[in-house]
Amino acid sequence: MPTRRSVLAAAMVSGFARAAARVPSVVFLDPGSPSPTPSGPMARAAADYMALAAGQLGMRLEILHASHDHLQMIRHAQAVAARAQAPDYAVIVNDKMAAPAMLEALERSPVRVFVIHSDVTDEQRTTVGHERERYARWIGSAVPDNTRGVSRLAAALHRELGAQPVSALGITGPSSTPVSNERAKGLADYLAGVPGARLEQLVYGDWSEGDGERKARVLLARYPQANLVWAANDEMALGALKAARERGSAAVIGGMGGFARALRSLDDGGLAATLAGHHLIGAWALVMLYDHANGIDFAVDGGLRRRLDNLQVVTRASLRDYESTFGEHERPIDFRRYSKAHHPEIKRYDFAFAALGAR
Amino acid sequence: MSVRAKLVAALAATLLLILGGFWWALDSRESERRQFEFDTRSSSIAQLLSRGLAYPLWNVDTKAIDLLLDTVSTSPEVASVSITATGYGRVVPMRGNDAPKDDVVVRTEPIRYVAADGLAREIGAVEIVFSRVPMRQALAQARGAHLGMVAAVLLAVFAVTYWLVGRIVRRPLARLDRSMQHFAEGDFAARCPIETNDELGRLGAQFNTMAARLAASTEALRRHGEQLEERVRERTAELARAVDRAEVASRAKSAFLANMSHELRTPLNGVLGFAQLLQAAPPEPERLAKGLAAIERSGQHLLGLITDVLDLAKIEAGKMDLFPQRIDPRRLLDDTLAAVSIEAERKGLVLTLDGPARMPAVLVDGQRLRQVLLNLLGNAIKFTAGGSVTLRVACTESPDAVLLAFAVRDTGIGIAAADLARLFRPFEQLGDADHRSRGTGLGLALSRQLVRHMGGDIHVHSEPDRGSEFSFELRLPTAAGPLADPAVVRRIAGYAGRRRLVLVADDIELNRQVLCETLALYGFDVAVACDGDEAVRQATTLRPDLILMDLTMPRLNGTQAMERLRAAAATAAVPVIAVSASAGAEEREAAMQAGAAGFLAKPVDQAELLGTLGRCLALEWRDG
Repeated sequence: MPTRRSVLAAAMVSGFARAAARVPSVVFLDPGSPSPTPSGPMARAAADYMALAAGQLGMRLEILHASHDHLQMIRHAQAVAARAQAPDYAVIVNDKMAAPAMLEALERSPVRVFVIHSDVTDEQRTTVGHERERYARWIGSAVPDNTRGVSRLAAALHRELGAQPVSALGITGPSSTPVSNERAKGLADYLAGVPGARLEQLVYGDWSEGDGERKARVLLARYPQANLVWAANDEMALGALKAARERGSAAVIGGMGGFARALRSLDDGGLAATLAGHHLIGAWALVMLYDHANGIDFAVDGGLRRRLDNLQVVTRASLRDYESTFGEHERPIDFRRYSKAHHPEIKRYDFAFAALGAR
Repeated sequence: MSVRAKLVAALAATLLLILGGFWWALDSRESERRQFEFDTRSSSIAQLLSRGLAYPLWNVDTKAIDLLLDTVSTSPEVASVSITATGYGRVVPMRGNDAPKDDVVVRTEPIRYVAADGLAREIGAVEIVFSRVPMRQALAQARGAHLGMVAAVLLAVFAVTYWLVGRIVRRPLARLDRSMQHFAEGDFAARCPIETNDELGRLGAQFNTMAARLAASTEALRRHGEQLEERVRERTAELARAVDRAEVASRAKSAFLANMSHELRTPLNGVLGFAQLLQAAPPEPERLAKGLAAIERSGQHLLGLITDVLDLAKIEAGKMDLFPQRIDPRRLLDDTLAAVSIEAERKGLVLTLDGPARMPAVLVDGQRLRQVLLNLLGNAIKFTAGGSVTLRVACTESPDAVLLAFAVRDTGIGIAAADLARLFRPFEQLGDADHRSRGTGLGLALSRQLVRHMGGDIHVHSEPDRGSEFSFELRLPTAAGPLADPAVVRRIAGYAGRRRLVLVADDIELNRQVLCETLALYGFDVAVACDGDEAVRQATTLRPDLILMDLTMPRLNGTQAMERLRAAAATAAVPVIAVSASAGAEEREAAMQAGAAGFLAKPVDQAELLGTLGRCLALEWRDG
């Protein structure tokens, strides 16, 4: 049963009259579960940071969990659309290509829709169109720029190899998921620019640690010379690490997500790098919606379909820095600092990890 | 062994051979086919699996590999499947099922993958262990099914052929067999029913034809046998009858001879007795006359006896000839009655003729009719002591014939019914010895034969002590023309005119003597000849007026002599009267042919002799 959790964040209005006049309400249709699951730590983390951001910005946030049942997710959208007191915004994820159905459900309500995390694909857009076109209530989209992120990750892994010629193996997500290819493309793009580097083989995994381990075992046997293994998430990267250790391979291994286990592995000398920042995309979306609610349309700065280059490589070297921000004893991020409504001097939104560290 | 059994055995053997061969070939083919299919299938499964596994193995997609292996390993033929990655080993746990592991074929196929760079890499291998056991089980099942099919075909063909053979061959044969058996057991009507026009049908038809011919010939043979038997029986009976008749005749002849001997002796006794008596002493004229009269009477009786016996013998021999003449019945009746009237008168009987005064002339042998009537009237008078004797005649005319009914009735002693059967037998005389002595005993027998000869029969109606009636009927043709001269009894003394010379030719002197004496008595000159030759010479020399020629003579018989006489001009015109002891018609005819002017039978009757002489010489008799 989906649970309903409302986070009522009192608007902390400090000399900000316009904002004080109105408290925007947001519903997040979370494809995942309320508690962490092996396959969905990112979604969980995203919800947590959204709640943090809503609290800081003074927005009312309601999260409806679908527990990875996209039909449930669509029913939630229909229920929200039918409400008498409809929220101002709905944040949805194109999980399992369910976005068009939710857009259709919410189009007949006053709710404005914002897509995060998994973009509506180009193929879907041939039928549903783009933001603010056929579905006028769909006001914008914001996804992390995985390709550029992975390229940065690959470069970091390459640096670990030193002068060795690169013989790389890639384990990405399921081929049916657009992000899998986006992320793999980052690897291929980077290696294409490195003379003598070979991407021996890219395989499709199922995000699980076990699958990463199985695939890595076979691939490392198939390509004994491989010295770089990239996986599209930290789980699979940890599996590959296990396999490499079994086979006695010295390949450098990198994952994505910046999960706690991955960070520990970095610390232990296991994984060489991970790519973090996905968990903040929801929070960044709330910042933009907050400004939108306060009359500042994000469209004027970077368009309606945004790729946020907010992903940051975490290596053993940068681990301390990262943990200082997101670790157990972190200093909480103040999301108000990124709002144009709070800071009219901001001309362009900059949600990069480096920007966090800079502050 | 019956035809059906043989055919069935041959059929069964042939079918078994053919279908056995067919089954063997089918089984061999099936076995080869299944082996080939097994090989092909196992190879292709291994190849398909290796190709199908290329991408999953390349991508190390163990789920897809598992799914593929699940699909393959469900086949009962697949004992185990294992997928190995090059340099690594088994990618997924080896699959296996409970297929038997004893009879197996191992197929190993490399797994190759052509990556985006166009290079084919051998990334692993698939090893499938196939069990032949399911294939062998299926083959065994197929074999069983084929065997069942072959057996069914065998049974069906066998049953149909059995039925057809029974219908086409056995049944007709059985019918033929039954028919032949029946026929052989004697049922000649047995035939084989024919239903078809084939060889068997024709065989049956030929049997039927043969049977029909055999039956016909057997029947003919049987009939012939019966006829033969019948003929033998008839002949036997005829022989028996002939023997009986011969015996009867023999007995009759013995009796006849005995009777004849007695009958002849009686008058001969009279003749000889009186002749000796007259010779012994010179008789007195009165006794001489009495004696001569007794001799003459005995001689007449003897002649009558002989005449009757001869007549009877002629009739019995079928040689009695009738000489029908135109006769006035009334006149014949009157004459006949006149002949017996003296005797009737002597006995004091009333003799009456009861008949129409006028009757039409008829053709009849008057002498024989008269003989019959005389006999019947004589008997009537003889056996009647007093009363009357009546001759009644009825005449019924029709256009060209007359039915004359004669009846002689008397008032005599009559005849007992028991004696009527014997009445007409020769020498059977009824009555007492007195009566018997006065008849030949042949009269009635002769009369009946004569009447029968003339087309009638004598019937007797008699009552003892009341009288008898003898009657007969004759259908006689009416006749026109001159009436025959009835034999008139005249006393002739001589003839008018010159004396005539008569030549008597006979080899027996007694005959010559009688004729010479008789002719001399009536005034003829007589010459004699002892044989034909002499007769011809005498006739030529003497030129007689007439010749009495015996027909039976030595050296030259009468007929030959007559031919010579006719041939010679001098004697050609001399009339010849043939004389013969053989008084048959043939003799008479032969004599007439030879040119005889008349014919006389021996012993020559005087009146007849004179009659014939008078006619041939145109004599005018002078009464004495």
